[in-house]
Amino acid sequence: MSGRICISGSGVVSAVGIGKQESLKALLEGRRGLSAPRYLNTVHKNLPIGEVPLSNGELKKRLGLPENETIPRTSLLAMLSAREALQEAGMPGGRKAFISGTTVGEMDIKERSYLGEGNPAEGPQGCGSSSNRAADYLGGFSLVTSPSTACSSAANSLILGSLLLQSGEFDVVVAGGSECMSRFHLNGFHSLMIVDPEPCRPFDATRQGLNLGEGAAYLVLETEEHALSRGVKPLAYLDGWGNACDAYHQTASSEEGEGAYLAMTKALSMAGLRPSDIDYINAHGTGTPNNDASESRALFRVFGEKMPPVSSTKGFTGHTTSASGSIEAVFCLLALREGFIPGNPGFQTPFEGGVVPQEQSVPAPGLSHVLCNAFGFGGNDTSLILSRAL
Amino acid sequence: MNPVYIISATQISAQEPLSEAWMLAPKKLASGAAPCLDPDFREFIPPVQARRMGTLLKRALVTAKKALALSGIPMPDAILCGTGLGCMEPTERILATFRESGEGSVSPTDFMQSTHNTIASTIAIHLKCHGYNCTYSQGSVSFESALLDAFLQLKAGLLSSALVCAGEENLSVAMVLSTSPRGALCKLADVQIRHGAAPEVTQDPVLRDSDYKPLFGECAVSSAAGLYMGAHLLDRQPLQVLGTGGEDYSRVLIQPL
Repeated sequence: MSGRICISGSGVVSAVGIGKQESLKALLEGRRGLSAPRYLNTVHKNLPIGEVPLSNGELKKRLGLPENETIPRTSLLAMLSAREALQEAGMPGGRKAFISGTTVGEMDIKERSYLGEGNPAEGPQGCGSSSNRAADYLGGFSLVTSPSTACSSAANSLILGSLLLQSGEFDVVVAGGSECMSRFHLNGFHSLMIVDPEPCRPFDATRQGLNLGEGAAYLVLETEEHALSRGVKPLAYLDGWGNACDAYHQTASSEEGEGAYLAMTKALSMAGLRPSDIDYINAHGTGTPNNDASESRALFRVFGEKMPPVSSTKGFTGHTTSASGSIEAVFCLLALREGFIPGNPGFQTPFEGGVVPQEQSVPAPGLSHVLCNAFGFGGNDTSLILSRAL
Repeated sequence: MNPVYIISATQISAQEPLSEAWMLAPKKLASGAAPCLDPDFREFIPPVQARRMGTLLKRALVTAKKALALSGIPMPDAILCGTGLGCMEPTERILATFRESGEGSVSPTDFMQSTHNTIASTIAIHLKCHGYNCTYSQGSVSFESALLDAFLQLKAGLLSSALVCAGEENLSVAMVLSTSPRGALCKLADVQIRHGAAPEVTQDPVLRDSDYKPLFGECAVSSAAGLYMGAHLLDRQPLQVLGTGGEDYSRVLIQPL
């Protein structure tokens, strides 16, 4: 059985807002969410980061959870955004799976406990348990799992979600990812010398690195047949995906962007589309010299001189790592439904061999097919194709 | 729908590594912890590369190479991995650095090796394998998540072969799956993961944690060792390999050819 996979709901939290409406407004207005750390207790007071503008206490309040319960921030962000997605989808029942990509998991609690600042988490730890907490809060899931492929985790969740639906074993999948800010992550990236002390500039000639971000986003996926059978109109379709490994280096991408090239090519092939059918590309575009050069090379290999509009939205949210694949998929969904191209804040001057992105958000009625890239450390490269629902 | 087969399966564990000779006289472990017996890594990994790899990564790479060699499939279409905690050594070192020297002294090598997907990507880099690559970290069903992903894609014809691994501090398991039965150990008939309640178990013989944990120890991917064991022990009846831990459960059904 291979019905078309559709999206019937979505939810998102990031530095640019809580929920789709706030996020859409920020994208249209070009309002960046980066700032000096407000919630993270770090010595790096001058690094721009993209924090979700709610404390853990405020998140728990919105979720109706007790203030004094130790809950990983990754789980709180997941609960809030997945709840929005399920509500939009009309709280579907049936056989449901929850697929949530993460790398940080419960590290925020672990590092505080190591430093004597807080209680350790109770029970089992690791990526899976932070996903389980969110799944149990939302309820009704008979399968929960967590892809953990660094910056492509959430995108890979959508792939497994598609596979589960096409197998006929599940009716509804809530798929995406969540990643909270942590000192572990911030200092880890900093040690690799790929963090920009200024707000990032994806695809710009003077770019120096990424700004770390946090957030979460989920899509409710089901077969088109299932959605229509319960009277729900698809919002969009997940028509293609591609996952390939760069197999080059743990943290750097190859010059030819081989993994990225293969991922995009596979996605196009699965969707039955040619490069010329793509109306917009949401690039991975972290703002590191290496990614933007490598990704540009891969984009030119696929699209040649006929490059569709491209932008990286990481200048809005920061690099939300494991959640970026689904946060940016939701931005692509908004682009399709609202008819606009999200901008690429931070870009001013192109570099030799670099794509020239769309700097400001612009109206673009009639977008039909959108490509969303998520390229992770370890060469874990994933591309998704979302198509408009008529 | 394609049939799926387990062609080869191997391990590095508390039992004799990269071999099934241990099955004649298995060691029963005294406690849950099970330090690995290591092969001579120099047979498989050049020393220059080995020096830069932690023990978990070396074991993962070696079991992967062995499983591929046994399978007769030099380059799999995909590499998938399940790991509960990933490489704990670099993770703990980073946290210890915070405690001792504050932020800012993190070793980049430690950070690179602390992410869960470092295992599957290390294998891909060594093999120069550009195929589908994914890592799952979901406690006691980490390995079965990777196995399920591979199983669904093989059945659907998206892949014709896959290397599926499990890596934890004291256990490494690797197996090669294929849609062709050539040289196969057994048929992989079903993979189920369930949250909150165990999947239904049939009347077929069962291999459960009380069978494999005393031999391989207790960790998130012990059930991968259970499947490895089951694939080699399978005779004329199907076998259900059950995994459990926390809220997540797995049932893998294998059948004779």
